[in-house]
Formats: sequence, C-alpha cells, structure tokens
Amino acid sequence: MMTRTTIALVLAAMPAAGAAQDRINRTRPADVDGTVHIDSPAGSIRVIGWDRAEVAVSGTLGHGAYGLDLSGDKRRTTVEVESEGNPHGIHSDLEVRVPAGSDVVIESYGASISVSEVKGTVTAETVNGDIRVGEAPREVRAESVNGGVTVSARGGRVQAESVNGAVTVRGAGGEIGASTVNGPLSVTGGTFARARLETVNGRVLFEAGLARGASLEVETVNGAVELALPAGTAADFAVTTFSGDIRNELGPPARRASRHTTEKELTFSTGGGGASVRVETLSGGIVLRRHQ
Amino acid sequence: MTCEAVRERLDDYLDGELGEAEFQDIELHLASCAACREEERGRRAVVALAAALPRRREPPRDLWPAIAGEIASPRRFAALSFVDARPAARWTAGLAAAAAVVLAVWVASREAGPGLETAGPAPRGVARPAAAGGDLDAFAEAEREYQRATGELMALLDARRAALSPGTSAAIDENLAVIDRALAEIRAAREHDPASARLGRLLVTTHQKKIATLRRVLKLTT
Amino acid sequence: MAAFEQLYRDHVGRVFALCLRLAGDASLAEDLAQEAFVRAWRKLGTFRGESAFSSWLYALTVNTALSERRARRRRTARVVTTDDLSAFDRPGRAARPDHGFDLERALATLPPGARAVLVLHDVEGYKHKEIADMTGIAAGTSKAQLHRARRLLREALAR
Repeated sequence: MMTRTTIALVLAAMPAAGAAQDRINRTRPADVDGTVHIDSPAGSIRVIGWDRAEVAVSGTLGHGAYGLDLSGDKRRTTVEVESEGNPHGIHSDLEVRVPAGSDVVIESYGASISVSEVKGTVTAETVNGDIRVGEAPREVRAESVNGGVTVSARGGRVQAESVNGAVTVRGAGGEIGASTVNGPLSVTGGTFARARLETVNGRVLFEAGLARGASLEVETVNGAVELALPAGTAADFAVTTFSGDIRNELGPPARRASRHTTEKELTFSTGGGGASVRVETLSGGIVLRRHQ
Repeated sequence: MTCEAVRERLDDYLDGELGEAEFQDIELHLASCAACREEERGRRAVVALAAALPRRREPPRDLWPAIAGEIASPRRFAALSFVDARPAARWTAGLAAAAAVVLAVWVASREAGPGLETAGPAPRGVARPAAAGGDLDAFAEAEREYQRATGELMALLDARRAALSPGTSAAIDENLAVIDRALAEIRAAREHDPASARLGRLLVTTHQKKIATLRRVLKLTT
Repeated sequence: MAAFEQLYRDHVGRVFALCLRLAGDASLAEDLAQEAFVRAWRKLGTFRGESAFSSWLYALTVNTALSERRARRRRTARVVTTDDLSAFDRPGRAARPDHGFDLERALATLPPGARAVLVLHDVEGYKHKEIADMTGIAAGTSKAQLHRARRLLREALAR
C-alpha cells in the first residue's frame, strides 16, 4: 500500500504540464533505504542499484508523454511518465539508478522490466512485458499476464506469477510461491524451506534442494511435473495423479489407489523422512528423479 | 482591514477557525462592506450545498459478488503463509463463500491417507454432512457459488476489453479456456469416481485458480 | 462472511459516495469501493473498537481511494475523468436532485487534490487536522487546498 507521502504528493503537487522532451537526464537525492516508485506505461524500464544516495533517471520519453514526474521526499521517490489520454502506446526507455538498499515498486502495462543489484524488496507488475530480477533482493514479488518472469536471486522470498508466460527461478532459496496457468514453471538451483508451485496446464520442473523439515507442494491439472532432488534428501512423499503416469527413480513404483478408480498414488520416504513433498495432478505425468 | 485581507480569511471565518479578535475584525468589516458581504454569502452557499449533498449513493450494481469472490480466493502474497497451513485449515481459511465452507468440511471429513493431516474443527454452525447425497448437493451449490463469482469477474473483464491489445485479450481467453477444459476434465473424472476427496479438492483449487487468474488480469490491466 | 456481507450492505452507500467524489469517475469508484471492502475484510483483525466501525471503515476508504487513484489514473485513459459522469446522471436521492447534480458535476471538474480536501472537509465533515493525518499533507496545505476548491467550485457553479 502506498504511504501517506505519496498521497501528499497527489494532493500538493499535481504535475505542471511541461514541454515534451525526448532525452532525459535527471537526479534527485534519496535515502539509502527509501522506496522508489516507478510507473511507465510501455517501452522498457531498467533499474540498477548503486552506492549513491540519489535516484538518477536517464533515457528517452515516448511520443505522447508530456514529461517525467521525478518527485517525492527522500523516503519515497516517484518516477512517473506523465501523459494525457490513453497512455498504453507511450514507449519510453528508462534507466533508473536507485540506492542499492531501496525498496523498488514498478508498475507498467506493456514495458519490459529488469532490476539488478537492488537489495530491498522488489515489486514489479506488468501486463504485456517480461520481468527479470537479478541479484540480490531480500524479497521479490513479480506479476505479469502475458510476459515471462525470470528471477535469479539468492535467498529471501520470491513470489512470481504469470498467466501465459514462463516463470523461471534460478539459484534462489528460502521461500517461493509461483504460479502460471499455461506457461512453464521452472525452479532450479538453491535450497528451499518452503515452496508452493501451481499451474493449470504448464509443466513444472523443480530441480533444487530441500532444507530440513521443508515443505514442497506442487499442483497442476494437466501439466507434467518433474522433481529432481539431490541424493540424500530426507523427505516424505505423497504423490497422486489420476490419469498420468508416475515414474519414480527415488523409491517404489506407484500403485492404483483402489480397484474402482484410475487414481494412482505413491507414498514413501527417503533418508528416514523429514521434509514434506506433495504432488497432485489430474492428467499430468510425474517424474521423480535424482538431481545430477 | 482591507477587503483583500478579509477575503483571504473568509474561509477560516466561515469554518470558525479564527481567534476572537480577528473574528470581530471581519464582522466589523462585513457590516460596512456590501461587496465583501456578497462574497461571504456566495461562499457560505457553496459550503452549505456541499454539506447538503447526500452522504450515501448506491453503486450502479451490486459489488458484493465481486468482493466475496476476492476475499474467497487466496491472498496475493499469502501464498507463502499458505504453505504453513495444514491442508484442512487452508480450506476453512481460504474459502469464504458459505457453500464453499460446506464443501470444505465435506472434503475435510473425507480427507485421509498419509501425508495429509486430518481436518481441523468444523466451523461453528456448519454441520458435517453425513449422507453422500447431501454432500453432492453441497458440492453442486459450491460450484454454483464459484460460477457466480467468476461470472461477475468475467463481466468486469469484458467491460475492460476495449483497453486491452488484441494479443493480450486472446492470451487471456486462451488461458481461461485452458482452465475451463481442466474443470471439465476434473468433472468427468469425478463422474467415474465421485467419492474421491482429491478430485473434489482439485476441482475447488482449479475454480480458485480461475478466480485468482481473473483477479490478477483485472488488477494488472486496470 | 454473512456478517461481513451485512456490514457491506449497511455501509456501501457511504463508501461508494465517498469513492465517487474522491475519484470523480464512476467505474473507478466501483473498483475503489470494492477494494476498500476487501481491505477492510483483511484488516478486520486490526480494528480495535476504539472508534465506531463506520469511522474506521471510512478512514480506510479515504486511504484506499487516495492511494489507488494516482496509480490507476496513469494506466487508464484519462478522458473518463471529466466525461464519464453517467453515475451522476442517475437520480441518487430524490431529495435534491437538481442541486446535487450540478454540484456533483462541478465537483468532478476540480483538480484531484483540491477536490479531495473539499469532499473530506465540507461533505464529510473532517477537520483539517484529521485530513492531515489521513493524507499526510500539512494542515496548512489542507486549508489552502480547501480555499482553492471552494473558489473553483463557485466559479464552476456560476457558469
């Protein structure tokens, strides 16, 4: 939720219409651990953390924009492409340098978004663009409708969602919640304490470690599920599919749940048990294997 | 006091925010200046009009179904705390529609098997249905609730179609169709295996996914 | 849930009126009212009963409307703000349809900041101090915006 400062901005500083300018290059002092709010309808938004206590915006404003609002107090900086009329066609290419400890909130409709070297919480939303978040925010929340979401970050918490795009998480760890409808979902590298992965049709790949006592839940309707776990993982498995096949290289083969149903279920433990692994699909095939 | 100074303080005068001395000064000026009296009357009229505006206005359509749909589906970032919750608690916490609660209890009461905890306490006032026939009724009612909620959200989405690019609109439709096909497949599987608690749960979570997807699309495209 | 629906039924009129006037746009107001109730549901646990539920809900509504508006405004066509006054065409209360209508229309043409303060102060009866607490602007700014709003409103009504 936005803070009162932003509300104050709305009330006190309505943008003055300025002459349209193409190239921009502006800076503004900011706290090293404040919040930077970036709003640009389309084009590209590149956010890079740096060690200065200021926000610097460079790049080009799209045709139809009448200015860039760079305002706020030091705790909270707003970077916003100002426009009248339907803004979706205004393609601006912005590079925004922010203090590395900042929380960054990015909202767009059609821009591709990339964030790197930011240590605070990164929140990014777009409808039609890709989102890429690199090292090493403490928390990532990224949502797209028709674009892919790629997060490569150590530790922390990751929430990554797309409807049609692919969600790819590499080298993360800690907690993850990720979902797609149709896009593939892949989590590779890192060690997780909690993971919940959901798709309807997209296939799921989880090739990562599980912490002691971790929980991993995977649910799809039609999507295939592949889990690749390191040797020596101590876990209790509960795996079900109704019409898909189960291939288990970690333990015993699956059996029919009862004579009256096609439901196949598989429960077993490895390494004496510990972490909880639950997989459910309707018709997706399930593969359980060792991570090379 | 000059007319200019008086007009600058006129709003404070009307709002009773002046000290006694200033208040008296203004009164005095107004008594002797027709133009400022006219100004004062005009401003007082605006204030009175605003104060007389109806405090209530009914929205053009009932917002409740959409609100119920939204609070029934899991919170955005709470997907993580979701992982915390025991499966049964997930149902009772996450499903808000009354029929869905009945369903939750129905599902929970049948939940069995390793790896899945037993159900939490039933919500107050909701009896655990015992007979299979009654369960199916409750289930059908729950599905109707979800369909009502998704119908409302679809109407909201359709109202925004014009603002979406054709590509985005097509991608959204394709994904909703994927979910609908999945729902149909789960229903078909349930006809063969009506007693399966897992299929019931899958049907519910897939309905929830449709609601969550519609919500996400609506939120991001607004 | 049933209890919350009752709360919704009891309060939606005021919540929607507030959103409509703060947003100046009917379809946005529906979204905001909806969002306010969803937030209220999620924050019910933080309501301590120190104030009336209605005051708590209306303050939350104001916050929702003011914080959401800026973000949303950018992403949807701006033209609706002054053109889409269909909600005001609906005769709301039979009481004073003509006055109410003119004033609502004029209100919708005010700059958002000034309009918000006028709605909160003159329609809803909040004090400058309370508006300052709710919105984060200084009480002096709230006063200045109110004066500006009243002047603009008078001009708009005179046209």
